[in-house]
Amino acid sequence: MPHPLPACGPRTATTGEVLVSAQPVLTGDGRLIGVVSESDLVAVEAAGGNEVPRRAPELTAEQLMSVPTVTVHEDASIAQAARTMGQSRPKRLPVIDGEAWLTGIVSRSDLLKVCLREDGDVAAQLLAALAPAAAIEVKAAQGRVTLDGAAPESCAVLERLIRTGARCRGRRVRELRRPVIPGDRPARRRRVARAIAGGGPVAALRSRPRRCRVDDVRWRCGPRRAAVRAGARAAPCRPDGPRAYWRNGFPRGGQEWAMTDGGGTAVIDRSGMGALIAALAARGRTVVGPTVRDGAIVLAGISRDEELPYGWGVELEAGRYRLRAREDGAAFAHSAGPQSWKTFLHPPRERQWSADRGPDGELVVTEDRPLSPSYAFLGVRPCDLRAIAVQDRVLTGGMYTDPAYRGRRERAFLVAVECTEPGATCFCVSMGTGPAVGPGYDLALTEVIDADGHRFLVRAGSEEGESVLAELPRRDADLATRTVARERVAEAADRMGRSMPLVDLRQLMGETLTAERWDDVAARCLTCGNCTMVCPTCFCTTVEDVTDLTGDHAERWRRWESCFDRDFSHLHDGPVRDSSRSRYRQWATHKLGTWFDQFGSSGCVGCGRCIVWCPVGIDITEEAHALDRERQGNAPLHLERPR
Amino acid sequence: MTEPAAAPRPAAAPVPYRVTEREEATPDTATIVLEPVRRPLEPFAPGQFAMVYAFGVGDIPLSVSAVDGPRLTHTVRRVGATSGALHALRTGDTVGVRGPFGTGWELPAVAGLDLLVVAGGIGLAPLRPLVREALSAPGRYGRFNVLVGAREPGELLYRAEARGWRAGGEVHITVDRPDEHWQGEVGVVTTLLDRAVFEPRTTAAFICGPEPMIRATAADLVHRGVAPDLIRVSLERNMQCGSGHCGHCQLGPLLLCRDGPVVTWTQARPLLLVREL
Amino acid sequence: MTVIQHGFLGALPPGPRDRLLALGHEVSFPGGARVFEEGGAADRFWIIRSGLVALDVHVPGRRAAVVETLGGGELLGWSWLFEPYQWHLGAQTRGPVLACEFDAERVRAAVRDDPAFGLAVTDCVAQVIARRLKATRTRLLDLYGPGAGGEPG
Repeated sequence: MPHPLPACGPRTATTGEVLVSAQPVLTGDGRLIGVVSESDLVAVEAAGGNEVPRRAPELTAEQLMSVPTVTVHEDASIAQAARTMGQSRPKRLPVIDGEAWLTGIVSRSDLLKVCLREDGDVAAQLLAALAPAAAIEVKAAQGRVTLDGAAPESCAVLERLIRTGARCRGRRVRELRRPVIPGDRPARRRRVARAIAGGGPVAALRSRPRRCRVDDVRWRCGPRRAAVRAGARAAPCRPDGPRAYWRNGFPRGGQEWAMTDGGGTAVIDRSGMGALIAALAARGRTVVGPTVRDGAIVLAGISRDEELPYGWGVELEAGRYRLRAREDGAAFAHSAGPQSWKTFLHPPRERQWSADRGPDGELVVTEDRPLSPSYAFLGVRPCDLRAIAVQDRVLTGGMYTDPAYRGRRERAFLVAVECTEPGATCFCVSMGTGPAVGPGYDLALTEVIDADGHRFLVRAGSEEGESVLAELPRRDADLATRTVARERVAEAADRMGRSMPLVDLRQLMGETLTAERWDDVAARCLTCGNCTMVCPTCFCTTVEDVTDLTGDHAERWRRWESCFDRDFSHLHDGPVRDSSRSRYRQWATHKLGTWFDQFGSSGCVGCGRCIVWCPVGIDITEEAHALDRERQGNAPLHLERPR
Repeated sequence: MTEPAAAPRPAAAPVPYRVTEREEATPDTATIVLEPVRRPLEPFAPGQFAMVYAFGVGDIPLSVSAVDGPRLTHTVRRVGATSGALHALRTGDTVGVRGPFGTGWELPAVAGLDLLVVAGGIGLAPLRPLVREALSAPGRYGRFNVLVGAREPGELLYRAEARGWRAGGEVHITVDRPDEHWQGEVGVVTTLLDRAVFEPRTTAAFICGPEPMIRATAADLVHRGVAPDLIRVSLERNMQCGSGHCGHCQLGPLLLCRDGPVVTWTQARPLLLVREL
Repeated sequence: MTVIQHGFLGALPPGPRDRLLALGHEVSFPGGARVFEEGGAADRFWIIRSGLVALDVHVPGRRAAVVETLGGGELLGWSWLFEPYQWHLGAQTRGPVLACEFDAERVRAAVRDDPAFGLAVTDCVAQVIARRLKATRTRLLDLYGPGAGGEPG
């Protein structure tokens, strides 16, 4: 039984010793009216300095306490309590019953303990889940699990097992709460206060267990930071004039586009790659491509071909990203990194216009029309090429166009690279976006490495692409190279790590808005918004208005916003989508469902970034499969890996 | 949800407008009339909204509460920082305006039908240009009923003008909390449906107000036999850009700044039934 | 005019409606008349033909607080149908009112004696109560209060 905690009445004089990290204040009849927290005392301390010990008794609890109090109902789920704690950050939550009587207190450590399980439980559960492969021996000791035998699947299965097993569904706050000692027993209060103060672990605890090891999560707040940091060096720009390739519609299905030879086809080698970068730079373009930085393959301005990630691949899993050296020296044998091209086309922060107030009070608005760099993107994956087309449709395909985006987009030169090395989190085949390249590129490359050497099959998809290709040291596209390239891409299609269920996803989303699965995913989702930051199609923004010190100059800035932010749907009194359940549902149903209604296509291109960069490894394909199963009426969760 | 008919327009910066009139409608509500400082925006239709920018503070969506040539009228209620700044404007001040945005009431589409206008609180503001449009075309529509609900008599908008509406139709007003001088109806606005004379099967209804009021009124009307396609409601979500680019105003498949704010009850009903959609 | 008859009588099937009307007689009230008082015996009820009646609650030290108004076609009073047959609100006319008045005891007797008629009348009264309950709950939300919606922004 957890030890009890003290409470006091509104008129109780506060002393330093009775203050544990949060002390409930009760009315005479036991109803909770407030909480005196450490920070309330600190505020007094800040005002009174060292005099606190003498002054504090003069203050009553009522004068000090924080209201309104954040509380949790005793029948709330553990997950709800954890979320409440995560949102408002109290160290302890008063537990109340239906009539607002205080029935106890839960602390962060109480909540966390639920997630720690007995060794026997863990072993039994793992054994049951692995039953078909009985050759595995499971031992658990002190929370460490040892598996012996031949693994039937990759370790991803086990990761998922542990995550699933660690859930604390069904348990209620009432099982955890500590009873409250009604006031007026100072001796006991002091003892308890000391006990709590010495207990210690509270600060180190989080409201939910971390699954990843520390060295795996160095990117924890990575994508946001990386996205902002990776602004390419601006280069002098050159107007290219209107381009003929502006396209809004794109057909579905990827395979049929493969290897259609356009105007120019050739083969270049590594020196040709260097020449390509030089040729693009010579045309006044800012060349952006993949390069290794901070333990990841990021997109950044590059000027030499050595900056490309030759010899680097990646290992991806839900919630996991690792660089891995490759022996073949390939430059493009890695899948999506933390950024996408939207960082450049639809930048994280951008000034839209500024306003000045003249001496007569008149408002003069100046629209920002910066001469944006004319980019050359080197290494655009087929999924990302489709993502660019999706954002084109959103930002320029409707009644209104975003002029800044349009300016950058019309001037961008796209060098696509077909995918020959899909990651374990990729599912472009099931989204019809890859691994072969679709329309919309200026040049498309296919990397080929075999006994005949390291080379790239190049096809031009636009006039400018042809003219750039004509400047490069190249040779004719021989049949062998073409054949190998075609085979590599075809093999990649067979090695996709994941897939979406083969159903009408829009219909699936529309029919499962009230599914129980959303509660399940909500219990895991931290609403951190990483998935929206790394998603190549997520376009949502918010605006900030700033003024200078004179007050006569104001600016309108636009920055990326995530639908996982609570304020995203703010309306007068509060957000429309308050629960994490509704926010994850909004994101997923928008990507897979309502995007069709709004913009005529899927908002998901199957790049897998949201799976990789989710701190708790939520997998949108797994969720879609689960929703499909629930819709079919056989809801039980199978610990299988969606294929 | 459909392809745009018109050529794409840039999502422009705000255009300066000057406050030429200001009237306190209720203690926390003001009606401001704006005239373009230089070029005007394209004409607004009843039901459409503008993004009105208070210098250095921000902009908020405001439906037009009257349209008169290039002049725009908005009724703004003081609830937050930006609406507070707009409420505090004085004659001669300048604001920035973007628009017109969104769908309108599309009154001409229901010529020949009985009209039922139901407004709750400040929801009368977006409906006022519709009422004026209907009254300016006597004979084009059937029976005309305007039902208005407000919290207190002091919070009723456009009281003087509404008296004049009685020449062209029936106006019923109710309040939640009467004061000692109030001799009119007391009760929620849906109870006024019993007072109005209309033929449900050939009635077009226009509803604006708090969402629970919209739901209750539309459900009542459908129960009486009004076709859901002929019930138009004005919905509210967090509108920021007006051009469908910021994503904030999503309501399921709808981007309300683009596909709304005025939608049919057929569209709205299934979406409003899902909690936290 | 093909307008649907709203209100209490409109919801009654023709047979029970005629039977009920046969039990009533026309009355008129001048403006400002007290029709009944809170706590009084609910021995009559009315269907309002025209005019407005305000229902109020007595609050010591204050003018009677009007909680709802009833108009043409509406049922005035349902306490007569249920024990203890006492008014729980007061009623006062807001202007001249024409109404059809019924003797509660006679209608209760008819309701007891003829189950079909009784069910129809009880059903209609229950609908009236349900609608007023719904309306009251909506008003409890104080929808038009500060910070409430209705207008974007």
